[in-house]
Amino acid sequence: MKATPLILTAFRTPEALADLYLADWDLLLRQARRGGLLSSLHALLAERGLLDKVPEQPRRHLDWSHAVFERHALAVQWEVTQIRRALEQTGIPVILLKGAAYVMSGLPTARGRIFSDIDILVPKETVNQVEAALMMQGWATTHHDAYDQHYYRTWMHELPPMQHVRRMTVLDVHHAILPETAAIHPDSAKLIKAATKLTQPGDLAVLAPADMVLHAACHLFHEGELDNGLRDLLDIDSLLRHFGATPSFWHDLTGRAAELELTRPLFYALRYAARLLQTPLPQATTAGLAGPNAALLALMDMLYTRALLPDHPSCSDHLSAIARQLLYLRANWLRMPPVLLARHLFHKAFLSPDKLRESDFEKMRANEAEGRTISRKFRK
Amino acid sequence: MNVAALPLAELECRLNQNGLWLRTGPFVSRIQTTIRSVAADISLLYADYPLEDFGAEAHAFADFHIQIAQPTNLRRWFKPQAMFLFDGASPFKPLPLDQAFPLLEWGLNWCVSAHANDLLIIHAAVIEKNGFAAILPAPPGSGKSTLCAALVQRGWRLLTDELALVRLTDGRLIPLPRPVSLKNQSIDILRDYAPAAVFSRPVSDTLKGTVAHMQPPCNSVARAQEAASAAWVIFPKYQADATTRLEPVSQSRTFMRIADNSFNYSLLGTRGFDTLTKLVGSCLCYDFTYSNLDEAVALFNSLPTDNIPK
Amino acid sequence: MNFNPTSSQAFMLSGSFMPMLEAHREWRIADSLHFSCWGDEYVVYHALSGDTHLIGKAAAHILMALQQAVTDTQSLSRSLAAMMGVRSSTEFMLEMHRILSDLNKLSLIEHR
Repeated sequence: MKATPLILTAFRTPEALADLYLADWDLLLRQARRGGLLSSLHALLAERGLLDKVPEQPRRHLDWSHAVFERHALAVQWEVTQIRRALEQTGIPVILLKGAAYVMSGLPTARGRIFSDIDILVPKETVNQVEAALMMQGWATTHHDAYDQHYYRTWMHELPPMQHVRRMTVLDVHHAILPETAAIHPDSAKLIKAATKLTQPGDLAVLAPADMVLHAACHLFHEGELDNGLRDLLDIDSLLRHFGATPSFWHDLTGRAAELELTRPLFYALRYAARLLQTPLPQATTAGLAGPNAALLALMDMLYTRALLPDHPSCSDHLSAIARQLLYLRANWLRMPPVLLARHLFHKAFLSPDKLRESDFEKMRANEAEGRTISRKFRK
Repeated sequence: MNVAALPLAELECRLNQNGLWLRTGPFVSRIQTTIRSVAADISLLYADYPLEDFGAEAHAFADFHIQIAQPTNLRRWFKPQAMFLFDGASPFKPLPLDQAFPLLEWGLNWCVSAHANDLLIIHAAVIEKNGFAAILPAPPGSGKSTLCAALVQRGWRLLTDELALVRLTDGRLIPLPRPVSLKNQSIDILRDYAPAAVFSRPVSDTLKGTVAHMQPPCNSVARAQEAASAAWVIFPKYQADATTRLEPVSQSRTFMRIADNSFNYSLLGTRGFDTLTKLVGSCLCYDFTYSNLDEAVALFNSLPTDNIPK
Repeated sequence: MNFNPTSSQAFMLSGSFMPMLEAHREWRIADSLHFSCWGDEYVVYHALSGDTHLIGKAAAHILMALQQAVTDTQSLSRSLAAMMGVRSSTEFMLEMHRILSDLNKLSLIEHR
């Protein structure tokens, strides 16, 4: 392993950036851009009053990303307003998840955070009604391929992503936080019951603090593609620092983890947040969480301390690529029983063209003309 | 030091190793490639451009880290390709190797249009004379580049052929002079029109047909740090056999058309709106139809300057 | 998240027929609207949706009136008719409803 990557130094001790040479800034910006963290870095430096100490050239890049973030934050609020309007007549409780939840509940986690899709959680029995109500207001399903439809509707914990025909925004409608096929099934009814209503009008809610952390952990440590791994870990770090100020939070967190069968993802989340980002954790909390056996833990450390870093040559060593591959396989294994896995990987490998590659400069230009294409129009 | 000061062997060596740290307008790009045709075209078309000298390695900073590379797959044996890498990542698909230099040019445009959000970026050419700049926004096929190339061969200063950069803080136009991209018949038209102009070797079968790049005037490159004020917005349209025609367009419609031709108007939100409002409000706006370059240039030389709104 | 393209077709949208009964329903203007005006044409930017629209004098007059206060359809009609120097006919009312419906669809105004 190389010396601590600059990107970790930046988020652990932003004050230390005052000593950087321009060439270090150059590298830091590249690592941050690859991890989708430029605007988060801007937000952190702004919060600590350090922006004015950044030399002119890198400062310009941070300001560029801040402009993207500012527009993004407004667009998220507008999109959430549209979703609320589309669903308010149904009377169905709608819970915002992840990025949109951080934005709408005004959490510090939202500062500088850019994300591609909006995710909501609704009771499983209402999924069809929700889909119909959204379609009435211009959202359409994105996966028309019969296999994809079947895959989502039978095995997944969400509808195929829906895209708004005019705004081109993507919405994921979930009825659970893990796929039906996964070995563990956190009870959605419990999550919905404990959810916190937002203060503005409408029926929107967000997960309770402990559940919000558990969902972030569960998402990150069941996720196969860790392109935004460090960003997701920073979410966890930020949520823990924010909610952790309330004394009862840590007790709730471990108790809730046991209740929802999410002790293991929580264990990993706390371990790697502390290791990579030096998140302060109460000793009683970490001591009370059971991890895997020593051999497995050593392996997981080897994998995650690499794969959670931005996929940039300056953050990688000879094991980084294999670490990413192994964690991809692990994530798929956790999500599905082996027979289904073989079938799914077969489909992914041979039947789904890599649609993202169909772009060319002209198409990119067309997208740029509509504003920055932050949404992934096609899911792999 | 300018690119011209490097012998071709030294230029290739830099491109192969630590890269060529090239300044274009307000940006520094670090370019790396092992493809020799790209080196040759850079040497030809970027001869007058300054290289960044940082003194010590610790002070080196590039806005964009760019590589034109050959993919290392089987295809390279029977159908060689070139791909554009932005700090190692590939934002768009590879093209045939022959198109490596146009790919670099498109890639450099993408770097600016996808990032530089302290500027309102419009898909337009900008030229200037006597302190008055004209913005020529246009979709491909309108003859914008042909007209722009002709004007800069007749004494107008080139600010940009593709990306008009409007500074958000004061609405001034920031130059980004780069080689002018010409397509299909325009290449021969310009060769006839300006026999002394320098062109890259035409590359056929690109997405845009045959493409060649024209070296920007040395004086325009030398004045790349000199901002200009917009006086006119002119939507050019080449139409075979048409008489030269200049027709006023309302400012509100000009606003909408520029917004449609902007890369980051939406992203900039209220600042984009305010900047465009001021820009359009300070310009005379026209639709311009032409078929004859001499007439077009004569008309540009007689554009009104006394009633430009403040 | 993707940002909205600009819309230059503010009034190409087909207005749906709104019943006359709604004369007393009140309208309010959307938050965060910005205007630029040249002659009889206005460019409106809606900062929340990110949409930009080109609108004519009549629609602009309605938005300006709503910027002063929440107003019902009937009062808006009277004010617009006076501005345009026409009498409030059935045809005029239909046109009025069409404009209001379009502005509503564009999220520039909404029912209180």
